[in-house]
Amino acid sequence: MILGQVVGSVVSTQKDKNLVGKKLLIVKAIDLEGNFLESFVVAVDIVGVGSGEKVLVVSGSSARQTDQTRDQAVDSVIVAKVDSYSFDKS
Amino acid sequence: MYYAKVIGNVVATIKYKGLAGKKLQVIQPVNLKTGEKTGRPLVAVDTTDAGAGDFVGFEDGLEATWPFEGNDVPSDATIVSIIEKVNVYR
Repeated sequence: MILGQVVGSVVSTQKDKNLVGKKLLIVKAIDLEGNFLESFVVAVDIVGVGSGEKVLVVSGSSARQTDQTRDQAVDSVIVAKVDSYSFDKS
Repeated sequence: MYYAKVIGNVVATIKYKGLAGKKLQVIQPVNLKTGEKTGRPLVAVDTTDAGAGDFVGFEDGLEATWPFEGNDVPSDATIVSIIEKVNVYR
């Protein structure tokens, strides 16, 4: 999983029928200090997060291992809202 | 399987039900031979009882969901072993 921060959302009317009703959010990757990295993804939100929140994003075929995304056209999913994390810099 | 060092952990209360009760660790992939950092840290689900400072083996991609019987754990990085010692002969 990668750490990211929700920076926006995507509105799409014409889309695959499996994506109807799914919340699509723009998540920008962050490093452990909280600085934004270059990369970002559009991810399906299955837990209900808001703008500016730190989240965990699962990518690839693992993203289809949830009830909401199984066998659907999804490759990035927000699976958790991060409360806090700790790490050793060295 | 890839080689990494556990450098921290993540606390997330709101998460997908399949991840409930799973330990989330921050890991830094490292070179097996030299111990140098390779690439960016990531967050992995822990199936062992690894702690900060431990060297671990982890699976990525869809293989990361295989340690969990059934298929309700969306993980694209899973710690599957704690590594005590590495012998590199050349």
